[in-house]
Amino acid sequence: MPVSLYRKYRPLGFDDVVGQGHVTRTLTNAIRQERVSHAYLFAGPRGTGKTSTAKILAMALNCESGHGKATPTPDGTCPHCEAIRRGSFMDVLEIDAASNRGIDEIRDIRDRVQFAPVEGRMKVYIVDEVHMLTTEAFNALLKMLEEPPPHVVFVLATTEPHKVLPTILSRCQRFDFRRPALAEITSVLKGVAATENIDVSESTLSVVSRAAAGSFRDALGILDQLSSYCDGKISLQDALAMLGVAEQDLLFELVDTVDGFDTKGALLFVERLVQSGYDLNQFVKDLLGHLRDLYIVQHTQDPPDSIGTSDEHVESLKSQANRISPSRLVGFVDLLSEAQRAVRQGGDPRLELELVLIKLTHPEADSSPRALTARLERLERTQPRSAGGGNGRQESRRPETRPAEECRAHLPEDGGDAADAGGADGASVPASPERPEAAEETPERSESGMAPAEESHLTRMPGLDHDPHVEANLESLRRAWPILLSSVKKRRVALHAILAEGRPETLEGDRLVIGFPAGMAFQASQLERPDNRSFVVQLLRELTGRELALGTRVSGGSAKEEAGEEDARLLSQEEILKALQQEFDARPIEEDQQ
Amino acid sequence: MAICADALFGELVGQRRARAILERALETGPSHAYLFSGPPGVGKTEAALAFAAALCCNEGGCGVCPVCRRVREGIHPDVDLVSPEGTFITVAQIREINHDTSLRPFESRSRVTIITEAEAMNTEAANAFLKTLEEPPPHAYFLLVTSALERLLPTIVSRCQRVAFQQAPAPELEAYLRGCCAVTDLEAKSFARASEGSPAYARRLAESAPAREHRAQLINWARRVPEASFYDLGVAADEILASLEHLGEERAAELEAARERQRDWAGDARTRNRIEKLYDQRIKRERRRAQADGLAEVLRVFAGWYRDLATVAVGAEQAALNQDYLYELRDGAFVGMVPGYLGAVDAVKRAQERFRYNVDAKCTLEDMLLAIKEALLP
Repeated sequence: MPVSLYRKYRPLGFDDVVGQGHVTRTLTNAIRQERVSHAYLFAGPRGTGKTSTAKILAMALNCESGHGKATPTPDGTCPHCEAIRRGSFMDVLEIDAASNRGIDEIRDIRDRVQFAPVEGRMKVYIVDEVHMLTTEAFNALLKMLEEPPPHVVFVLATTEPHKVLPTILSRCQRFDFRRPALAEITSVLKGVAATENIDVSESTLSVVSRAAAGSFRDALGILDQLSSYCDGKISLQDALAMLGVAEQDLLFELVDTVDGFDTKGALLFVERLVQSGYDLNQFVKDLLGHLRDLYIVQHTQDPPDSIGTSDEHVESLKSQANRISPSRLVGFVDLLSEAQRAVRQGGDPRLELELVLIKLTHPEADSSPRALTARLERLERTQPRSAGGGNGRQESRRPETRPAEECRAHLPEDGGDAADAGGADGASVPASPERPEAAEETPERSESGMAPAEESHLTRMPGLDHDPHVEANLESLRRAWPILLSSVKKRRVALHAILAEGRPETLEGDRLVIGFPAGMAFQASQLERPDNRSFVVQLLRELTGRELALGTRVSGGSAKEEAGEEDARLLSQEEILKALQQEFDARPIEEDQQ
Repeated sequence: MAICADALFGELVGQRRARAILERALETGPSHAYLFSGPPGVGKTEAALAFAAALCCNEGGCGVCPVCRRVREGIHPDVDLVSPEGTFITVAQIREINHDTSLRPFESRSRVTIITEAEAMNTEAANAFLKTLEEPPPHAYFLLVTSALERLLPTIVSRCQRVAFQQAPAPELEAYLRGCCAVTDLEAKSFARASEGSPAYARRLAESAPAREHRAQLINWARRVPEASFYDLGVAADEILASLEHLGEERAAELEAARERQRDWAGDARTRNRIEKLYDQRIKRERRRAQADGLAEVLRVFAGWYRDLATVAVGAEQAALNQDYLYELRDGAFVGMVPGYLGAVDAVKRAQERFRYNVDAKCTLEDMLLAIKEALLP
């Protein structure tokens, strides 16, 4: 079996460790000055060379070429170095703290630390994944770590230094391994490709290093896989295909689609993506990268070199960055990151991406302030076109949904704010019925999270006062019923529950009778309560511009029209007893039996 | 060495890229660790077994010899199948792997450990696995299978070669269904779409009438929620849960039968006891898993329906999953209701999250139905 490239090309000396100059220089100087510390902590992301450096340090301390002294340049060929590389040197112990994480394992080390080295000069304990040790184990390690025997060096390595106890940290010299730059990874890849006789272009290597996200191991792993996939000659297309990285054109296309508020286009785009086998998680990652490039281009005149793969690409980025507004861009990034989080917690990648796209292209579907901004922006954009009077579709479906309604639902704090927000661009904000989009609106959902704002509408209701849209006849009242319900719901949920059971039944002169199905006498009586009654009457006045009186009727019963008759519905005691006997088979208990 | 790729990977539908990666790996010499990632039900575990067969097979992957056959049936001693015991893959299981890996293979040339649902490794387990995964002995191979790559530790992912599986493209899935089941073109098309690229689910729809009925029933419920009364919703929740009970029972009965057979073969009382215990655990696990799967399907169908309504409402009919319900979708979809549809999808997502945290199924389901009704009210 061929050994993985990332195992085969482990660095053999401090000079081979790429991108960690601050670490290797300190270590070589310490060795040269014979001031090697007894405890080191190597921290840093995966695949940056922590364990490899620890092994090199072990070799440096034990190499035969040092003739009894530590050497900054271990030869890597003497028996000691060989044995250390293979992991068979008796005095270099590589301990996996993640599977030996208890106090007993640490005690075991403590008992053996005292013994002098067998083969080499120094005993080196490399404790990998040290963040997984239990608290007890850490504490058991403390004494040993502070004052070990002179022949012992500890090297702790971890990807998560924040999980290591502060008392441990203060006893170690800490070295933070940093993520290597793209160019550094590319140069390492180039070297390996040359030795391995892999035919690969510079641009392909840069794609690979990008995908490796700052890890040499990932980079070499990908190169390994690519070389076996392509049999020695790696083309850019193969690399993109195997990594599932989206082509730039796709990213540009989707951003343009979203920017054009094209919901249909966006959904069909996802469909196409799925059918052609893209990994949506990877796509979202790439898309986020693209959006980041866009806003960096937007905010810097002269974008840094890390942006864009070619001049042409940078030009396209610039032109797209000019088209899209910064707030939309930020909104896009926000929603995408949320979706990414949801996927990580087990959501369906496709569904999450589609939800994001619908929310962005169909801002009515999103109840956040961000969506409001998006809608304003869209209004501004369509303004010139709709000025000619495009109200043809307005009444086409759902006559009861009206622009005033939707605009109101989204007002922050009160009407004034919205006017301010729109005023910035001079566009008139409170929607007038001529808006073409208005036909797509619907009353907001209850959970818009704007409860405080709702109260203020009760007294003012700017939209309703000015355009009494609903004719005061039975037919249009019935049609407008859902609007009434939804505006009731925002202010009085309980009343909404009552009203939802009834519907306008008759309108005689100025008296509107609300009918309830049989068995809803309670709802009817609740509606008759003076406060509820006056509330509904006021709403009706705002809706129709007329003063209507309110009555109720329970089907199967007689019309109850005045609140004064409410008491009549109370059952007499005999009736209650009778009902109990019927329903529950109750029997009267004679008192004298007790 | 003769590698017969068709015999190994012939069952994979619409995974051209993954297949190419695996075949090339076998030809040029495989790496020691692979990570099979992709959506559920697309054949990852089957592919992992086939790959393991090739690693053990003396012919290098003929796909037909007894070694290959036994590996693919999961009864070869050199191929370990590890899956979560309960919710997690525990550190104890990983320690066992670490130990077994150091042993030489029993009879074939390699020792393969397949870890299904690798994302179920908890933090301790994953960390304990890192060292072994990075530098195992030369005869050892690891095949990790996951449908939630994002939930694996980056340090694990970084040590494996990735084999990405994808949703099977609809045309290939259709062709597959036409090839293996008696379906009309229209049925093939709609099942391929409804399965969201999972050959396993598509085939179940094509072959089993109860599965089709179940789906139709679920869609029916999803359609009726807005008009249904509270009472109806309660009934719907009960019925959905009842249908899941039944699912679990079916699989339990299969295992029960297997237990009977094994018990007959078992010679002494001790072995019999062990078998009893083993099957008790397995039946319990299978039952729980069947119900969890069933629940996931319910939620998927519900979310899919409201998503489709939104999709059709904005005019993107081709992207709808329930192509066989296009008429009903067109009838019900209305562009002004898109916020409502998204609200409904959100309700389903909330329910999914609650199930992950083990909230009572009935409460969650009822709450979900009510929330959907609320979202879809005018």
